[in-house]
Amino acid sequence: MPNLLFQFAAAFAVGQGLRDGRLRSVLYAGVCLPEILHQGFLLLAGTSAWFCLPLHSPLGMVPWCYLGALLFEAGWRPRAFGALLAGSWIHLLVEGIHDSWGEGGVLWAFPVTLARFGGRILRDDPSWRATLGAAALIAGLSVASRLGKHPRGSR
Amino acid sequence: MFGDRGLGWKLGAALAVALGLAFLSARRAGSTAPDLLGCKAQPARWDGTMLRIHSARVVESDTAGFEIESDGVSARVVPAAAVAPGDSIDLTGTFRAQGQFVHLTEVRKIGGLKGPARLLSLVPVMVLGGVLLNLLRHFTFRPQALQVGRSPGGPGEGPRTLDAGAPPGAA
Repeated sequence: MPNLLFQFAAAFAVGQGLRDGRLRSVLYAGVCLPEILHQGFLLLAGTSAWFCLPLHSPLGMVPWCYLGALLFEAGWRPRAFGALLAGSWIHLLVEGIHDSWGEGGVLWAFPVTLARFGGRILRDDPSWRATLGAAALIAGLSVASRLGKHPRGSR
Repeated sequence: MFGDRGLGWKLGAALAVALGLAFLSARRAGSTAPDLLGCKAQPARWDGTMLRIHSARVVESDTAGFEIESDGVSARVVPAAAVAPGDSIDLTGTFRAQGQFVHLTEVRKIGGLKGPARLLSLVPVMVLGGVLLNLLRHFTFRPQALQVGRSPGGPGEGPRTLDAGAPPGAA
């Protein structure tokens, strides 16, 4: 599994295109959602890895994002749903292109189908170098944003 | 679809669908991808099945292979790999009914970060904390639904729980 920082860096890059800082904060929460749910069920509830697998499939995340969106005030729910879903799919996309243990890739609609996408494109490397690279990407994008690429944007 | 009408039902339905998918996944796995215990219980049925075993512990190793223990079930794995007794590993392999062993495809040690590298395990926690703090900068958590006794029509009346507070573009 790639470091959550890589996934956040990818979402941060996407988030620079959003002007509303509130929407961006929900997008970032969406990036963490698959991991929160997966680790929550696996470690806290003690469920099997197979039970948790839909939490790492794009189809399986749809009801969880809808559930999460319903916790927002009514006017915000459609946007919150879109941002949570986009964030969770960014998480899975980054996960899908990493050299994860096993067969690699992400089961995009499990348990409906066993079809996968992605594969071993990036090395699954939890090293300081890779972590600092992701942090540098976030810092670089943040600086570029503040230097005037999005003058009215905010975090 | 996103309105307040029937919110409880919508929440329940979403939770039911989400958990339904998870139960379907677990059930489908039982019939298409058994665990080590399933293979050892019905070796003839699962001969040649690909196994993915998480967090197994290496009990002993020799030049021909090694012995693992996973969820109280032990199994022989061949051929040998660069693992030592006491190591925690993830592995993939093919179950062989003849001799009831696992033919190793791939093995990875887990929890192997040492020294300063162990600090890397804190990075996801820090990311998660930062993301939640950022969310709480923009949204206020108001569990009105649990506040029995408030006057109807009062501020924040309704089932909302996360209210957008800051205006668009606020830092």
